[in-house]
Amino acid sequence: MNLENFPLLSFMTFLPLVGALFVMIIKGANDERVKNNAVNVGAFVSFVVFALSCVMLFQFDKTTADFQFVENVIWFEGLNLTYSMGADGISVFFVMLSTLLTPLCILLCKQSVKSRVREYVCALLVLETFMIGTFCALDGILFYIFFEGVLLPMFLLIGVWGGPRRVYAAFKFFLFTLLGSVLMLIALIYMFNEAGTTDIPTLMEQGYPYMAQMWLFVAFFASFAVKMPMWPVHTWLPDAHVEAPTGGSVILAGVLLKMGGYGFLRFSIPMFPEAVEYFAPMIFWLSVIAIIYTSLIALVQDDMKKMIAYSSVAHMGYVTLGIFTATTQGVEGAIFQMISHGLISAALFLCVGVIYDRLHTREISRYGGIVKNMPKYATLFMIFMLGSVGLPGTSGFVGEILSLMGAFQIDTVIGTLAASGLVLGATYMLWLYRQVVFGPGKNKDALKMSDVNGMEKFALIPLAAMVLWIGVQPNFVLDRIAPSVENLLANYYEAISLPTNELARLGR
Amino acid sequence: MMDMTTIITDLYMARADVFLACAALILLAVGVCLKTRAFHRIAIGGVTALVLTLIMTLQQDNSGDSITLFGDMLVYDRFGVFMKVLVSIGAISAIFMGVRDLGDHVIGKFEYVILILLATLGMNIMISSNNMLSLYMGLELQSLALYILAAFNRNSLTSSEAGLKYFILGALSSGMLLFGISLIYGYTGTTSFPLIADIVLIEQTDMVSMGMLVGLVFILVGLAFKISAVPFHMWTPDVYQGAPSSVTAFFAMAPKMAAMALMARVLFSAFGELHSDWAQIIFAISLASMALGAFAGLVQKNLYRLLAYSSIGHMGYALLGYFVGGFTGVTATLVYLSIYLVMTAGTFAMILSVRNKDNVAATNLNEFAGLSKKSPVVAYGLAIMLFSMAGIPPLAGFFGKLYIFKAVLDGGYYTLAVLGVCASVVASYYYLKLIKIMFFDQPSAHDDYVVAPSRLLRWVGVPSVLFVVTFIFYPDWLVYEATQAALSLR
Amino acid sequence: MNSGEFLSEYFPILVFIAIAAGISIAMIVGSWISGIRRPDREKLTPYECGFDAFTDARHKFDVRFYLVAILFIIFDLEIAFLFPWAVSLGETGVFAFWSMMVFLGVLTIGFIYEWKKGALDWE
Repeated sequence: MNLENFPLLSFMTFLPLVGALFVMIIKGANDERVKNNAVNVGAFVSFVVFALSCVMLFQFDKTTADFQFVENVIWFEGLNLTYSMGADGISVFFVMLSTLLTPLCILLCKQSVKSRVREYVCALLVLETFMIGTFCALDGILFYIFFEGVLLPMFLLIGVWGGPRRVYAAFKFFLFTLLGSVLMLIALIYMFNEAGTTDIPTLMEQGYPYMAQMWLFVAFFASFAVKMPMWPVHTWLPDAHVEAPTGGSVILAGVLLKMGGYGFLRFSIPMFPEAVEYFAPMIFWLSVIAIIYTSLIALVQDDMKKMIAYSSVAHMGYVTLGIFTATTQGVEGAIFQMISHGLISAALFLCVGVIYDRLHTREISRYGGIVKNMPKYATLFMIFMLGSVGLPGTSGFVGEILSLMGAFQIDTVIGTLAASGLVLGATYMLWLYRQVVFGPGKNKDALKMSDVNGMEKFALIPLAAMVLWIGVQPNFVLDRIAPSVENLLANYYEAISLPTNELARLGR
Repeated sequence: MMDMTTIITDLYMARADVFLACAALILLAVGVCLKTRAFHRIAIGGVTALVLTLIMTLQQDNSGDSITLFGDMLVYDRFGVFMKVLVSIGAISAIFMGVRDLGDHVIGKFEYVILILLATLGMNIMISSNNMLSLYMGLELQSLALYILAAFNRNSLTSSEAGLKYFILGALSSGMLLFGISLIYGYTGTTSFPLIADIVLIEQTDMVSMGMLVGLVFILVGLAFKISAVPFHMWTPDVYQGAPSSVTAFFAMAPKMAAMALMARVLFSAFGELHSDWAQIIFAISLASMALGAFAGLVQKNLYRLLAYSSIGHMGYALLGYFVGGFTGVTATLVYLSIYLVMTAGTFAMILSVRNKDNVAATNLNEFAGLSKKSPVVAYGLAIMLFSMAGIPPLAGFFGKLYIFKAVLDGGYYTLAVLGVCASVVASYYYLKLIKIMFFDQPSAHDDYVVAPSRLLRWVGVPSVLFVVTFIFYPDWLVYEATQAALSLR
Repeated sequence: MNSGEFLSEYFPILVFIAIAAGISIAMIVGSWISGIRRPDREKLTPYECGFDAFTDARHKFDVRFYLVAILFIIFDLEIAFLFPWAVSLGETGVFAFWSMMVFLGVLTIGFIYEWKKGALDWE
């Protein structure tokens, strides 16, 4: 197959959208048939996309830091905007994450979603388009469109198929994220006016004056910090996670949270190096607060989804910490942590979904002792739980240890405090596991639940295998992201070592 | 004394508007003689007339140069063509909506179509005006037709109130406009825009007279009434609520386009050199409109009041382009207005298809509860329009805002841009609220609303949705046309 | 011209307004003070050709009166245009002739409309 001229990334991005159109026009004699057809079409399309993304991963050249599979088409002549797509080591695994999780969510909606399945599948497919687009876009405005477009299907996913407080959660999610990102839009337009283009590689080479960098960084930070989410703007996340349907939670935790970290790597560090250097200490402390504070909050939750949601905020704390250390280990660790968290938290939400579908409650105390009737489930859940704790041999360990290594190079106090989060994380995850899986079986209905069925196994086993595989073979991932990270940091240090101004150094 | 051959040539050049005037009069005479189905037949005639007018208007565009007619009273240029196309789209959609909304109704008198044609004629004159007098003539022709339209439902107290309120406030604003015009005439000795521009240019070296500025302020006040910019917006919610729904749709579309075009003519053709003086006024009313449109809309229960505040907010954004001024600013405003027009047409087409058992369009927000279950197509269409109005990409509304804010940042007004986007986030709350009602709420047990889009409503709704969704793929043509239009405005 | 100069030109008008207001107020107040008032029943009842008033003065008129009044105004104005036009037609020529024909044509359409609508029927 000649991949030179084949627009692989665009194909992957827009195939789900085409699929959504097909799903939308499905008609059938009865609801059951419509539902089955919708799920089958949706799953087929998203598996094709996943297959394409595997092709992309194997074609990916791990020796270069350049963007690959680049497409450039004039899109908007009047504004000098181009439709340009491309992937490098930083983005390629996020694309994989998106294409991997979407088919799993679509397949599992057959049993977890009761009403309007066709629209649910549509929403997920549209979401996939926006997710892949966000990670592949090489034009600022294009990136913004995908980044922001995610809100539309997600708002409907939470609001239509969510839990009892879904309206509140959907609004909070939408408005928090929107407020953050419109500030980013202002900053993007400013950069656009300065550079005359929003081509990301061009913008990376465009230097900005010191004060401009500060304001631009703050505007981008407003958007990415909310998306990440960082303390103290994380409060939308627990609500959104708890109220969202299983598929929504999986995508939210698995992919959407990574957009913030990806944004920091794609925009903040290469474009505003001096501001990054200036603001890094503040971000370290915010990350440490996020790690310790949200871990403590997770300890007292009695709702499973809420606990995992708070643990996500804590894990994202390692990501921001790693990114802003601007060390090779730190940044690679942050990316690895995001990938691993994408797999693990998605799987954990799927695990919660499995028992939620059976008992329709997420309250921890309603379960207990289910290891007897659900041994396979207990095993799978254990793998993901240990991954989340960061046990060596799982992917969680690699991400956390690398981020912490980065942190210790910068500041021992920060590193020590962040490392204490590992202990707290182990505490609540093990407690959760003990309460749900072991312990006395005091609830009869919980003990009657059937073990994971074929569909659930099909979703969870590959995820478990991947968590273990990249836990013991981290180089498969690290080799591919290393050149891009090296390049990113080389440019970063070059930029801040230039004697452009003295203030930046004083601020350190 | 005018030369007869010049007059005939000028009449030929202005054939589109002359044709529209004749068509309106003939349809009036024909309509009153028809015994049955007068509304539907005259509606067909009215749409045909508007389409033919549009074709003739577009023919003028071929030459590319701007021409002045009737002793510099009217000017025909690409800017005019652009705005006339927008106005005609608004008028045609309003007739389509009227057929659904009023056609089978006891108040469905065929005069509705005639009044829309006459209002459109007035707007075309406004758009082409090159003189304070032709400006006023067009404005009054439009306004008189609109006053009657607002009170069109004679059996309804709210409609009569809307008509009266609009008439009194409209007359007040016309009075202010005339006062401003007389001051300008007193201080410049002319009512012609190009001559005023010359005088302003000469006086610029010294200092512009106070009286002229006072006159300009009064003219701006009069025009701000017409586009319902804060603080001259008070009539808008009441009129939107009181007038029949299809009339409200017309109010939200065409008159705003015409008044914005007129404002551009006055501000740029006549007083372009005084940009630094009038920009403060535009700044204040645009900021106030954005803020009030966002915050006052939050507490509305009535759909039409909500849309009224939404339109106030949108006019605030559109005015930002005029505030920045220059070629980029005007282009941005034109792009924004075009997208606003389509979004409004689509929104009203969706809304009008939700009707109660008396065949009256739904008015309260909670009447839309559970619409997505009753009619997913209408609900998704309306949701797309509302998301677009909120400026969420990848829909067309986002590009309107992108253009406006690009112009604002180009001018270096960073604080203004931040305030503007913050207002848009606040405003997005009430759009989301309506989406929430349609998608997340359950329909109430006793509601008897039916969703019945007619074929004509589909003709408005489907193209609007397609435009809003696919604008992202081919944004260039609209921008190109807007650029050409802005270039010709000199 | 600066703003001080501009406003000073209006000073005579201000004086004029003040004098006018002063004189009017003086007249009203003066007559109110000096007038003799001895009201009785006959003086306070409305005068109607020597009859007692039949009904309340704030009576609703039939809307047809308004209609006729408005129609009268339109055609009255038409006459007001036609006279000077007819007198000066010799000097204004063919242009003025056709202008008036268009104007009358528009008016005729309006006339047809009101006729057909029944605005001219009293019953």
